Amino acid sequence: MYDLLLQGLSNVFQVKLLLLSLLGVFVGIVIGALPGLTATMGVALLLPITFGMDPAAGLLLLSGVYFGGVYGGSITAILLRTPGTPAAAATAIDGYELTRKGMAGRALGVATMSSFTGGLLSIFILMFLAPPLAEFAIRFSAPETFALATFGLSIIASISGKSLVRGLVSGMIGLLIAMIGLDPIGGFPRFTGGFVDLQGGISYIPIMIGLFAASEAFKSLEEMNLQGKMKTKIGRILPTLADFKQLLPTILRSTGIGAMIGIIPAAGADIAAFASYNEAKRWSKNKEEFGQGSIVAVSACESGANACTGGALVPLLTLGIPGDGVTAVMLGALMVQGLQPGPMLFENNGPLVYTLFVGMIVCYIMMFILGIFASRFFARVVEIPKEVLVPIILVLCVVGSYAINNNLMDIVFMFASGVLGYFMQKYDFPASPIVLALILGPMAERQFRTALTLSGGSYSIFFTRPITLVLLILSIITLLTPIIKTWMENRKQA
Amino acid sequence: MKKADVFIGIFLILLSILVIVDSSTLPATTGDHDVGASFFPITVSSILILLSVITIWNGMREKKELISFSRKSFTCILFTIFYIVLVYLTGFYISTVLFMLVFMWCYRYRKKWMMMLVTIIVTGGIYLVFEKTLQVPLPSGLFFN
Repeated sequence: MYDLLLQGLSNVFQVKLLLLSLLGVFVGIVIGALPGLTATMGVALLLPITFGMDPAAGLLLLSGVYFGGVYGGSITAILLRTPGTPAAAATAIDGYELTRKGMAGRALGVATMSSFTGGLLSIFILMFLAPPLAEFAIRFSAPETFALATFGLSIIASISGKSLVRGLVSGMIGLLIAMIGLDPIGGFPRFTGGFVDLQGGISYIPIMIGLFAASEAFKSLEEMNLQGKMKTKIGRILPTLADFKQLLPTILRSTGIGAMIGIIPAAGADIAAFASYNEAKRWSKNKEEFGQGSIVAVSACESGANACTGGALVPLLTLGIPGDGVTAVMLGALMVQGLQPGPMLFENNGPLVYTLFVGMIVCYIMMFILGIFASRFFARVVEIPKEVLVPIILVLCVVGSYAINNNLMDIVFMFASGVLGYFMQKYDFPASPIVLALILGPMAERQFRTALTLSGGSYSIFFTRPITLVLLILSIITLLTPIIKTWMENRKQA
Repeated sequence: MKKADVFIGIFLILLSILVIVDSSTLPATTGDHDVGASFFPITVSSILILLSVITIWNGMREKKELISFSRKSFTCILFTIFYIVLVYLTGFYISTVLFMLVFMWCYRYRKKWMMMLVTIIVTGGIYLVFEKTLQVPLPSGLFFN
């Protein structure tokens, strides 16, 4: 592994790659800071640009947007009490209290340092965890892959939104959309209504752009422009060594939590942030501080959220299963580059993977520098009025979805998904399950039918193979847990 | 009763039935122990019917919820439709410039210099990135072909 690492190191230090990483992080922080724009949207919007690039450049650009996006939300959360991203919602509470006490600079510094440390450590975890995991995953055959896809689907259904039923409905709808086109094994056209165009299926990147970017753009017009102009002085941002030492245990614990949550398919930075916050509060000797402006709280949320990024990349790179919404979009980036994520990625493209690892470390370093020196600038970004921002986003959506296949129909699909996503948000149906279903659905079907062919039609293949059985049981547990929880809560109240 | 839930549930049930009916025309198996192209659609639709029934049931039990729609958002959606049609007809650049300027103006943004600057930067930037650097041609529109 170490020679690959050195190779990656030398590959990364080319001007083009470094500039793109910097650009990605910069754009990511801006998008993250802007309320109403999420990291997922940022990656989805920039995805089409990466097609013409070589793989390392494109993927590092997107990683930069990812990392910066998760971190950027904390800036507006702290200064204006408005989280730029869902993951920063937990930071907003204590962060803003600190601003009110005149300690905005300290809060920003702590957030930057924690995001940096958490994220950096998670990349190391990725580097050391991924290769052995990839080797383990090589032993996966059709039944295992089917069970894994099912597991991913069960998690995304239960985690997004408040209701398991609604999450599953979204998932099922996504599965149905995924089935438009030729069936994966026999090649028979399904639900194409005679249109030859639909035989290739509906390209899921326009749908992703529509669901994550366009629908958010439609929705963000409803909220008023941020009235709070930043009047507070910021002061010194770089944290002191004493602060760092005090926060180290919190950062390490939150990193562990965040990375683990990231590794679980479909669980993302917002969950990681809240879980880290809760754990930090539990372990704290001064619980009353939480909510009143505790830098421990800010640190926990931010390190947890950014630690999730490295974790989410683990299942993506080793198993081809996205660890969260952003990595679902990045899966699209990988496939368009002709790279098949999964165990073979390490076999066939080892140098690329290690270039990515090193590049991601560089991204985080750049994020830290930008955060410390330019937070003031990023905070002003919120002054951009919605009526300027929204048309820009929509233009990018249109361009992006067209650019994939030079197909005007893709723009229509993108728009339709955008409208669908907007209404789904209004009616409380989560949108992420659709995207993951589009990716995991065909995988699940193909592997299921292949597995049955391998076993001669016997369903026992799913029960006799240990890995498959474990994953399927986990899927069932994941689906049953919310139901059991609600049942137990109802019993307590009765 | 949450009417929306009930209607959505009914709609989904109808959709699922449509899918099941349509799938039954698919070959059941390609031989070789395969369950066939119809297996997954029928299974998914059946699950969806079950879920829709639950949704309708819940919708009937819960109390009414006010969902507000914003005129701003709907206008935006309409604008976007016009924009897309315009792209098809006149190509990317003209429609983008028009869309951005008219949109900002309609939403009460009045700083003329900024409007033009932003439009030029965005359109120019996209030209540079997509056509020059990535060599991806953008639509030139029906009128110009």
